[in-house]
Amino acid sequence: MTNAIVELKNVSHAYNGEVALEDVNLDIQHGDFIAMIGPNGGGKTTLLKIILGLVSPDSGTVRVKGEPAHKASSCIGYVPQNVDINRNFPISVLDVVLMGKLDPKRRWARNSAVNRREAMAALDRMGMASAANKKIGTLSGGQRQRVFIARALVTAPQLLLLDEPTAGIDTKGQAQFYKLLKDLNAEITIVVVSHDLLVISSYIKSVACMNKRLHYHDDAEITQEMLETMYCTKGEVCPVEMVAHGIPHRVLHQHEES
Amino acid sequence: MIEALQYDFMRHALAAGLLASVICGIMGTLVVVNRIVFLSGGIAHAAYGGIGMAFYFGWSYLLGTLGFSLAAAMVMAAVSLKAKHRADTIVGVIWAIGMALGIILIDLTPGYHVDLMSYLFGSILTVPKSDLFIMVAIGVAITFLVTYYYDDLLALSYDEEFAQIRGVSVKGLYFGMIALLAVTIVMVIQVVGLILVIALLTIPPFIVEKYAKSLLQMMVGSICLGAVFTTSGLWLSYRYDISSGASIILVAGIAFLLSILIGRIPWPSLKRRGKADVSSM
Repeated sequence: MTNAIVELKNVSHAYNGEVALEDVNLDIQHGDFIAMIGPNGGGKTTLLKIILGLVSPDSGTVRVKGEPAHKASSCIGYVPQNVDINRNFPISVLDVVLMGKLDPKRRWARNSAVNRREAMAALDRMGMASAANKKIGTLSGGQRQRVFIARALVTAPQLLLLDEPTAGIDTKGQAQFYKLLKDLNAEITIVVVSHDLLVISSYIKSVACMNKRLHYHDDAEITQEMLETMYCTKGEVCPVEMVAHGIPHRVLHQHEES
Repeated sequence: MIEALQYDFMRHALAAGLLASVICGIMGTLVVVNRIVFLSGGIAHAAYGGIGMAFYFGWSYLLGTLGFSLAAAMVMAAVSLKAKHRADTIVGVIWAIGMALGIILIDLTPGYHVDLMSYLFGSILTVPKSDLFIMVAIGVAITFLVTYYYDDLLALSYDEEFAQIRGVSVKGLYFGMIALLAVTIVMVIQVVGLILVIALLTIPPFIVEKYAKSLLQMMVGSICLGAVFTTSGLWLSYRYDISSGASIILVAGIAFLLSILIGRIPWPSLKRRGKADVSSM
């Protein structure tokens, strides 16, 4: 019996003949805090959607808590990449968070007072309690992101998947945000897709490099070699800031002019 | 208006208009937030194919129209779930084929020909009592179903992926919503006509959407606006002896333009209040 909450075996997937994932193997252990890095189009979002059961892979097996992915999805909290959907939608911040309490199997047994209290607590934790009655479209991108994270927290997840959650948040906010995730990690397993290599490495426990194939590294070090295999095709390399084990040494990779 | 109500036909017309407002206010809100206005237009126009089949094959009107529209609606729903970016084209094709089929089948039917105009604009002034009862039944059914599935519909409309993760059977619910929409459209077309159905489905929810903070508010607001439009449109048509369906639509259309203009005026006092709100956070 393994301690893995998610087990992926030989998972491959393609969209219209375009390979997104190739032979991915990954066991996510309880209590892990994984940063998933990799270039755009590297299959990061697809992998999250496969774990959530939203996409069924062309081949390979996915098990979440030992069950097929789509059956276990309610124990996963998900913060999508795009929080700009439906900005004019008539819905208040509190109602967005309450959506996390949706349970079609218990239609008549809902306790709305308790749900509201929990939703407000989640908003408070994200520093958004004062906006509870505002319309979601009136918030800024970063504020909306916090509301979506509150929505994921209120589902009381065992696993939290976040797809570029800090895209709309400033640097100070990012550091606070990752600190919050670190606190949450005491109880919840976390996978976060991120490009904030600078900030992230002092909070995470392991790194998954995703570029169609997946390489899992069991420590928080983001090495030059990893970045090269992930982001770099020689000739179009940008300088990448690196931090390993929180020691701020910067390695700037040279542009290789042809 | 009061004197007009001494006539039976005006009372029936008013009742039909108010019932249509309720039904279209609820379903129209779902149509607008799910952005399936075009799909609703497709269902409504394809229904004409069903009318043609009912006449040509001698089926009952309701059976033919409802059956055909439901089938067309399910195809459109399946396409819009499977290939979102292609859906509008397919809907457009079904829309056109449905209408053409209807017209040709009615051409081929010997004898009595239905008037295309009465299908487009309806005949709210000649609504029989039996149709009013059908509308009441639909109104009650829709209110019950939408109340029962309110949270699921809200999640589906706002964030389909999240709804699926939470265990909502998104596909079933979507097909159900479109089927309900098809039934609504077919039944209400019979009473007030295709054009008025589209107008009542889209205009009140669109105007209300900006101000509503929840789907429920949007539905209630749309019902109220729809009621105002139908009542004042009917009064205008009685007072100036003009077509009732078209009057209602024009009233709604003018309100629509006004709401856009009002939305564009840079109200100075409102802006300042908005800024104060932000800084107090």
